Amino acid sequence: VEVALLPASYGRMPAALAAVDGGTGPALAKMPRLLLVEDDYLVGMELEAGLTEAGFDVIAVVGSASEAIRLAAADRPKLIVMDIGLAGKRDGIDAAIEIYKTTGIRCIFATAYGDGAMQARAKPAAPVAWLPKPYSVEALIAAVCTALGELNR
Amino acid sequence: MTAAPHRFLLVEDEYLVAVLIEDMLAELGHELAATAASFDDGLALAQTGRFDLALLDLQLGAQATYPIADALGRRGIPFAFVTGRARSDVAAAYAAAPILGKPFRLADLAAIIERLVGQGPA
Repeated sequence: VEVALLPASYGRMPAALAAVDGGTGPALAKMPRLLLVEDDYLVGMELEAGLTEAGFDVIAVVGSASEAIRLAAADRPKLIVMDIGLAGKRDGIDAAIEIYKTTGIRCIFATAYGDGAMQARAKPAAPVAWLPKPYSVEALIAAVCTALGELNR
Repeated sequence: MTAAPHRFLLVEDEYLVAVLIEDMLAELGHELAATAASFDDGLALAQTGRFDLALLDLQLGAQATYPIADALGRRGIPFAFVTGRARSDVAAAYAAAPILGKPFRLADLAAIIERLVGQGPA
């Protein structure tokens, strides 16, 4: 019953997502699909577990800009949670800009820097939110819910 | 920049936050010597663990970490409280301790470390 209300309720009640059949059943196919880009394996596992438990469909956790670009193009997630510092030459902002230009998919950026220069660099990626570190699972879920509400507007 | 690396005790009950803080310390060139997710583990480590500096989540569930801070104080190990709440939530007796408000930027963490190093070991 609650699942019909989900798009309107993203912003205020993340618990509703977890309440739907415990995350299983026919509602699952409608759950927003997320891609997580995080190069710390342990952090990635925690993010995936927390978001899955909250009812989201996490399609993958990848650790590099190139994998993020490839998966975003192939699997078309609704939203990406993007860590900025990544292993490899290109960082999360590079990846997000290319993804936005080629697919229109937008990101929540997780960062410990939070400076104006970084935000300016990220502007061409049309970031939907910034998630300052260190964030709790609850803060992450709240940011994802708010971002999805924003995207559905 | 402070002279790296310093070895830290981190007392934090939320695993994700602990791992993210560990990453931030690593990014500044420091290392985590020990992590405690519970009050008892934190207190035991504060009494006997080997590290130069400590970061204490102010609140572990229902329990405040002041006794852990006291144990560190007795050994002359500088510490900072980490909290998502207001500075005024820290008990008056600990008003002199540096406070790192969550979330924080890498630069904020670096500044707090600088301050702790300035206090020096006893």
